[in-house]
Amino acid sequence: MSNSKTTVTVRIDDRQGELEIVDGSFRVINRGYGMLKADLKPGIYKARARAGNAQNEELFEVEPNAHPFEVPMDTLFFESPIPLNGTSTTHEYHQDALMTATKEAPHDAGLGTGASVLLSVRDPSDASFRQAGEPSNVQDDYRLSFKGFRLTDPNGHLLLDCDAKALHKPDAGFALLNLALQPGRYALIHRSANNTETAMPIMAVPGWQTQVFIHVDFPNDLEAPGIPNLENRSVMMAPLGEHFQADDQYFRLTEIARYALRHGRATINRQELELLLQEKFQNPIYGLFGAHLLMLEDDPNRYLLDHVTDNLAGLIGDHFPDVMALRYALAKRPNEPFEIPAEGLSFPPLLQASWNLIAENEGFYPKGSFMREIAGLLKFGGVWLNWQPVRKTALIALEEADMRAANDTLVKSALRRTMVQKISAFAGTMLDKLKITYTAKHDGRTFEDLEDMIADINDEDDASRSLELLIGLAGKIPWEAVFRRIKSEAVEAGLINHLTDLQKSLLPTLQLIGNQLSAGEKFSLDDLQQLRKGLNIPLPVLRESLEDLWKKLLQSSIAKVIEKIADEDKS
Amino acid sequence: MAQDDYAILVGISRYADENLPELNGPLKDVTLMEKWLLSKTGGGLDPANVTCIVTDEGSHELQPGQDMPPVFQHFLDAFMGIVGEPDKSDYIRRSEGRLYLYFSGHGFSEKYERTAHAALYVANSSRILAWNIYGTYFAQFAKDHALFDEIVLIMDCCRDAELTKTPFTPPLRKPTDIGMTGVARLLELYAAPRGGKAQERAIPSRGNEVHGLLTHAFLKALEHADPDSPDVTCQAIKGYLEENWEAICGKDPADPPEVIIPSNGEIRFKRSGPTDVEQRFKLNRLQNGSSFEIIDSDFDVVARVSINASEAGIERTGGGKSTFPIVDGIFVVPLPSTFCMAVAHTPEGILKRKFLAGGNDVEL
Repeated sequence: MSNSKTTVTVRIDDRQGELEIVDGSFRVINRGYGMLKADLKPGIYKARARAGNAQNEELFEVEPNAHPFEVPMDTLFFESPIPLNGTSTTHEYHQDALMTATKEAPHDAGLGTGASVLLSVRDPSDASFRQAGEPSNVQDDYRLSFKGFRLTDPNGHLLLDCDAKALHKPDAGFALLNLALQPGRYALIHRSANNTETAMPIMAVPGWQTQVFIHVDFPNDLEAPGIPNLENRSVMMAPLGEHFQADDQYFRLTEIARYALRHGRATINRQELELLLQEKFQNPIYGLFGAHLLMLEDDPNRYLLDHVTDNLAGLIGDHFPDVMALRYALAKRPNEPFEIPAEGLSFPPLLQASWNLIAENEGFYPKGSFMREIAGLLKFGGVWLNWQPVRKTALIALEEADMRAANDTLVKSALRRTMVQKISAFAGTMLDKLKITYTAKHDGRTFEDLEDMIADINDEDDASRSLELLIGLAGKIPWEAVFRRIKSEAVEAGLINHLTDLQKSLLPTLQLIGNQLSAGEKFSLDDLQQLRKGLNIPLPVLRESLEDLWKKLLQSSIAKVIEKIADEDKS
Repeated sequence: MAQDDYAILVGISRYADENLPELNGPLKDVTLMEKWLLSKTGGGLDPANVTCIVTDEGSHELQPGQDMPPVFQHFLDAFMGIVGEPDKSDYIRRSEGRLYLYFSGHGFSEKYERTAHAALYVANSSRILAWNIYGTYFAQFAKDHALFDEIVLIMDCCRDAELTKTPFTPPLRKPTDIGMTGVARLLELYAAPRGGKAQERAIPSRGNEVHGLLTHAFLKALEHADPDSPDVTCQAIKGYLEENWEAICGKDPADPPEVIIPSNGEIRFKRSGPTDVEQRFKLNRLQNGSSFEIIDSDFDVVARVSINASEAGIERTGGGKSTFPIVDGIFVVPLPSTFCMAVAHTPEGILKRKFLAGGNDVEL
């Protein structure tokens, strides 16, 4: 049989998507993007095309001595919160609504001008039609599914109740808000039906409209309200006044890049990505995704990364948090100096990947900054950064809860009385409030030691102080006994509601470190850095979270558990 | 026997946390893997080198406050027992050895980490105390410090990234001598992509026993992948899983596994030899008395099939004839696991059907 090769061209109809050719041993022998040419010897192969969450495959044969031929692949219809052409979740009536909304001047709610935000919350399923024939409670639930959004300043002060101002069309399954804004930093807050709150960063840039697209997931039989899928949202930026275009190829490409980043794989191969990024792209979000996809490479193209970052800075400014994070990461690679502003990063980046680039450097999180405040409150958000909104009243609420709890038998405890007094003194510095009059002994270690140690720790954010605190908490509290008792006394749920996600993950880590310390193992600064890296936060945030955790433990029923253990030890 | 090869198999089917439902597969998965590891034509391990850490499904109710086993410490003890010197002074390097780390149960993926990884919940995990074994960390630790020449990590568990949990990175002491990094090779198999769900289900070809899909598919890959080779490479396993996942799942699709092969060389798995997969053919246009050829991915004819009234006669290239019954127009032909093409000459012209052997029915 002839082994002469034949040129085969695999082409996706709209040239958007990752392409691979697989041989009979199931090895990927060629990769490309949109279109792929390969010289193949006679045999049977598979062409595989991927975009977003969609995949097409086509087996084809190369006959001996065949002439060059083409393997056409259909456009890949993937899911997207944006009603774009070429997606499996689009509806013309959603496209029309967005076009109409973006043709009109943004709504003036007295929040200034110069930038704008577009919020699109939509139901891509057929639930909007089904709910119309359901009882009124189902219809009410359906309407509720598009609500719960409000715009705040970074500190959580309400600027606009989006629900009140948005155009709600439940029968067509969407809610839309096109809002004029003064350029600046905002948080889009969503409160779910179970009162869980999630904050999402909005950077309003002069001359740009930030567009947030969210789809709502509904249970099949509509027995409960739908849930806006915040993790899978799309965020775009378009020049102010530009109308929504359902056939915007860059939007579609940006969505493909979002999927790629979410799954941590460079689905757009390096050559094609570089070609696309070398163009003077007009979509900053595409540039951000592209830069982070480039950084996934083992040996990223430094020249291109600089080019993309410069282009981004030209579009949305050098102080855009994600741009600054990229600049920092690029400067770090050849160990160039990078001057972090004294105020750190003024606002969280849009992308979790951008946060990851700076998390090691506490200079971005100076004491008292917003970044420092939210660093221990991050929530899972797909490629996006989300956090639990900062509520100044949270501690007060906790205090009230404990005051109510004081009515139970715990109040008889001297420890509890001391704690309640301490709780009522919430106003001073954090460390002062940690002082307790607790003298019980466990394994020869006193909790007074811990109290003294915590009190001795000053406000310097150096690693050794964090280490000292971690070792103190891990080694001096009998975690294993404490948690066994907590489980047996079913007081776990009362505590968990007050802990941040970070603190929940710290508890077993403390026990583990405690066990190892008891076994004579050391916990070094290297280990601490490893822990910090895993947690993805700067060291001062780790320290503050530990301090706050200790405070919460004292306020909760766990104090009673510690007391009981101590009493048993005494007896 | 692979004297320097070791394995830790963890299967957890019951959890203290009611949010983690009971599983039926993990213990059977561990048994299946153990059988393969101890088989002379499989892993070839010394039974003394295989540690199984599994749920005791016959155990009684726990005392208040008692931790449900197995717990993290059980795994840590097993791991340190293999890699550490008895006096804990340093680590043991087995430069000719292979370490298998196998996990089956509920798992998750850390939310910030973009590289492939997973952790397995242990039985005493709870809402507030999410104990877990960070399988990737231990595999990577063994690789980074070249404690074994080859490390095979199999995590047949979910990689749900929505649970806000953090895998534990225990402060393992670093080896006293450095410079070995990059020598060892690591193969990682995860049952699902990041954020994806692993599945267990009854497997008809295993007597309807419930197994994790990845475990079942991995063992199938060892049998069928790379039909031209006496052993199986990581690359072949990856390719087999990617190409055959849909067929393995059948009518009930599941998130595909993620396979990370070593970038610094191959890991080869022994077997008694490749076995064919079963391909179903459905007769439609072809009638009694007709015939067709089956061509493999190299364009070689592997078999000629003649259709008679009640059976299909198969003549293999290179010798060997056999017959298979035709029932309701359907018959099965064993074929090497690769892309194939059936070519039949009919009065209407040439009929061609390309297919993945062992995949969907081929209608002729």
